Amino acid sequence: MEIWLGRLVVDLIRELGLGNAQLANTTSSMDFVKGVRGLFDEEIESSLSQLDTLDQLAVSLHNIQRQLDLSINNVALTRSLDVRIAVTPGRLVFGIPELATRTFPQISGLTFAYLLDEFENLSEDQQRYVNTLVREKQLPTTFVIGSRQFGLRTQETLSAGEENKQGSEFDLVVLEDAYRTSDKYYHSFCERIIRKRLDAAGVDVYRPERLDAYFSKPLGGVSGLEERARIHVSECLGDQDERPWIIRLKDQLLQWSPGQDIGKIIEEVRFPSSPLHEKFAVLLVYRSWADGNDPLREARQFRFRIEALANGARVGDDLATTYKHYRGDLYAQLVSQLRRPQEYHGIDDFVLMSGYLPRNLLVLLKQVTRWSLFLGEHPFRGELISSKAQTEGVREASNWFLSDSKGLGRIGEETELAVRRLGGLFRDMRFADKPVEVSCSSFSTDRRGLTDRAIAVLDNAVSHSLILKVPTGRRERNTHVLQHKYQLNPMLAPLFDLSVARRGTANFTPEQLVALFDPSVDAEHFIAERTRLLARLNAPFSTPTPQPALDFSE
Amino acid sequence: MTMDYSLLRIDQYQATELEALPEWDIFISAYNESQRVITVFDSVRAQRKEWVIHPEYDFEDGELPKTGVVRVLHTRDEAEFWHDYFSEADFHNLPRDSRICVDVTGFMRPHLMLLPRMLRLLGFAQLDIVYSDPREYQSGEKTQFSKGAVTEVRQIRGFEGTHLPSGDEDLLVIGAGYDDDLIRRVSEDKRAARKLMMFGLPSLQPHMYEENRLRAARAEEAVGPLPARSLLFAPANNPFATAQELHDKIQQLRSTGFTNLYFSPLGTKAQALGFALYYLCECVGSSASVVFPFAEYYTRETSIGLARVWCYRVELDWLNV
Repeated sequence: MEIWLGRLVVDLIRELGLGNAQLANTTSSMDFVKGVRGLFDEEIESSLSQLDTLDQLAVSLHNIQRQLDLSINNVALTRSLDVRIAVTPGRLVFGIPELATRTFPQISGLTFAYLLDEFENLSEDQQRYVNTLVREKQLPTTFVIGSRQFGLRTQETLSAGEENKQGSEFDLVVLEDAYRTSDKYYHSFCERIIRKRLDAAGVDVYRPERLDAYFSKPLGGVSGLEERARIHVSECLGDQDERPWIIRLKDQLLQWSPGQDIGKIIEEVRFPSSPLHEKFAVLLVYRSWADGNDPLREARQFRFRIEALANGARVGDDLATTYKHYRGDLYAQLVSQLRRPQEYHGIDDFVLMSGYLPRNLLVLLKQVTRWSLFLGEHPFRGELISSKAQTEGVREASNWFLSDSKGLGRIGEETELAVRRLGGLFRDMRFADKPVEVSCSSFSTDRRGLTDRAIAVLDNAVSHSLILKVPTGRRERNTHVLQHKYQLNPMLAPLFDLSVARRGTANFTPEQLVALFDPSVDAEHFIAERTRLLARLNAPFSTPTPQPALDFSE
Repeated sequence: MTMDYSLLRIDQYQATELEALPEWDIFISAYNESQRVITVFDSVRAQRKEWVIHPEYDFEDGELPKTGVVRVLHTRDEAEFWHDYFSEADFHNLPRDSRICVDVTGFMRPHLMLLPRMLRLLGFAQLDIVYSDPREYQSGEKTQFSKGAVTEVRQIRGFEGTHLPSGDEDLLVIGAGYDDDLIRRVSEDKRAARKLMMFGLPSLQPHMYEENRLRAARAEEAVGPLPARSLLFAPANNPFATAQELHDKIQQLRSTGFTNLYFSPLGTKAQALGFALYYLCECVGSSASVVFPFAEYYTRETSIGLARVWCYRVELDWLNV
C-alpha cells in the first residue's frame, strides 16, 4: 500500500502539470525526484538512482509495484516469498505530499487527502495498517475513509496495539444518523432525488406539486380506515356471510368458554355498518376475557360508547384513545383476515420504509416501477401506479434488502435467521387476538442476561442495518435503567406485514431474546418460547394477566 | 494477439458409450454423490484411479467411496490443496509424459481452474479433462448448489493480477450459474465495475438456459442493468468455445479501453475451465484477476442422470506461465 499510495500522489502531481517539459529542467522537479529517492531506506530498483524526471519516477514506482505484485501473487504456487521491504511504513505516504508542498510553490500550503473507499473490503490486518497511518498521520496529509457500517473491523493499530479513538484520532459520520436528525429534511431530500431522476428520464416532474400524485391510493383514494374497511368487507363477503373475526370469536368461546352466553356476546359486538368498530369491540371482549372479567357484561358496557364513536360523536375518554391507537393494527388484521395483501402506498410510506438510506428508496421505487410496467401501466407518464404494483414492488424490495444486507460468513446466515424469527414474532404479535403493543416493530433491552452469541448476532444485525439502533433509548419505568432500543429496519416491514411506522416497543425477556438471536437455540426451543409469549395474546389467554396501562411513549 | 481455441480437441461420448473412453495412467475425480460422477469413475480404465475428497462436501469417514484410492484433503485453500495432493500422490516422481485425466464434474471451481497451472509448473505438457452433462438438476431452477454462508470473496490463487488504481473503467465478467447469491456477492465486491455476463447457450439441456436466466435475474439489483451488448454466450459444456468468446469480447473491448479486468466463473465446471484457459493463456501478469465467492459447503448431489461425457485435451504448453 505504501508504494500504491506513493504512486497515486506522484501521478497526481504529474497530472497537475508540475513536471511538464517546461519545468523538467527546473530545480523543483529534480529536487522532488531526488527527495522521493531519499525516502527509501535502500534502492531496490537500479533505475531509482538514475531518475531525474517525474515521468521516470512514476515508471520506476510502477515497476517496483509490479515486482511486488508478481512476487506476492506467486507465493501460493511457489511457497516462497522473495520480497525486500525497502521503505519504512509511512515514509512515502506522508513524505511524498510533504516534499511536494515544500518543493512546488504552486501547491504550497495544500492538504493532501487520501480517499479510501470500500474499507470493508480490507482484512483486519490491513485495516490495522491503515489505522496506524491515521494515528501517525503527518501534515499535510489526511484521510477520508468510506465504509459500510459492518466494515469497520477494528480500531487497533500497529503502534503497540493502541486503538484509535473516535473524537481523538478520527471523527465518525454515520450517514443514516445524519439523515435521522430531521425527518422533514430527509423527506424533502428524498423528494429532490426522485424529481432529479425522473427529470433525467424526461418526466415532467414539476406539474404535480406532490410526488404522491403519481401513485394511486388504496381503494381509489377512499379516505378513512373505517370506510376502507367497509369496502373491503363488501367486496370480499356476501351480505349473509359471517365475518371471519366473528366466526373466530364464536369458535374460541365455544371451545374455551362454553359456559358463556355466546350468542348474546356476539350480538353486543356486532356493528354491521362499521367493520372496524366491530373489530374494536371484539378486541375489548378479548381483553375482558384475558383479565378474567365477564365479557358479556363488559361488552354491553362498551357497546353504547363504541356506537357513539362509530357515529362520529366526540367521546372523550380512554376508549376513544384506545381506539385511535389500535385502529391501524385492527385495519391490518381485518385486511389479513379477508385474505387481502397489506397496503403500502405512496411516497410517505416509501420514505419511511427506506430507513434513512436513499439507496433503499431508489431500489424500492425501481421495483414498484417495474411491477407497474409489468402490469401494463404507464408509470410517471400520465397514469397512476396501481395499488397492486406498489404492494408487489415493496415486497420485492423487502426481499432484496434482506438478502443484500445479511453479510458474509456464518454469522450472516445466523443473522438472517434471527431477523426472520424476530420479524415473524412481531407479525404474530400484531395479528394476535389481543395485541398489547401498537404497531410493534421495536424492542428494548438492557442486554443483560443475553448469551455472547446472541449479542454477537444482534450487533451484527445492527452493523448491517437489518436492525436499527434507535439513538435515544428509554429508561425502564420502574428501575430507570437505560434500555437499548432497537427497531427492525422498516425496509423489512412488508416481508412480515408490519407497519412501517415506529410506535410500540416490546419488552422481551432475556430468555426470549436469546431464543431469537442465539443460533444455538434450535427451532423446537424457539417455537416453545414463542408459544409461551403468544399464549398471553391469543385466546384462551392461558395465564390471566392484569391489563397493563397503555404506554405509547417513545 | 490471435488465439484459436477451436484447435483444441474435444471428444463426446454418450452415456451408453463410456467403454470407448480412452485409457489413462492416472484418473482423478472429486467424489460427490452424483450419479454422473460415480458412473464415470467406475467406467473409466486407468492404471491408477483416485478419489479426491473436498472438505466442502463435508463427508464423514463412513460416507467415503469404497473403490479406488481415496485421498481426503482437509484444506480449502486451492493452492495448498494441490500441494498436499501432489505430495500424497507422489506426483513429483510421475513421468512427465504420463497420461493424466481429471474429471472436473465434482471439483470446486477454484481448484479445477488452478490445476492446469500447477501441472504446468511441475512440467507436464498435456492434460485430459472430462466433464459429464446431467439430464436435469434435482429441483430445476430452484436447485441449491452452494450451502451455508459465503465466507469471502477473493482472488483465486494463481489468478491474481497486477492491478492499477481502479476507476469507473473496471470490467467484471461473470459466468452466470444458478447460484444467484454467488452472483450477488461477487457483483457487490466489485460494485463500481461494469458487468458483463456470460450464459451457457446452448445449455447442458434445452430447458436449463431459461432456468439459468431466471436465477441470474434474482441478482439483478447487485449486477445492475445489462444491455444486450453486455451479454456473452458460449456452449455450457465447451471450455474452448468459452475461452474463444472471452478472447473475442475482450479484444473488442480493448478498443474502448478498461482499467482492470475481473472474471468470476460461476456457471458449469466446463465454463470455469474455459475461463481458466483464457486467463492462463492471455492474462497472466496483466491487470486481470479471477475473483470468486467462496462458500462454506456445497450440496453433494444436485443432478439427476448422466446424458453424455465430454473429454477435452488441454495442451499445457499453451499456457503462458
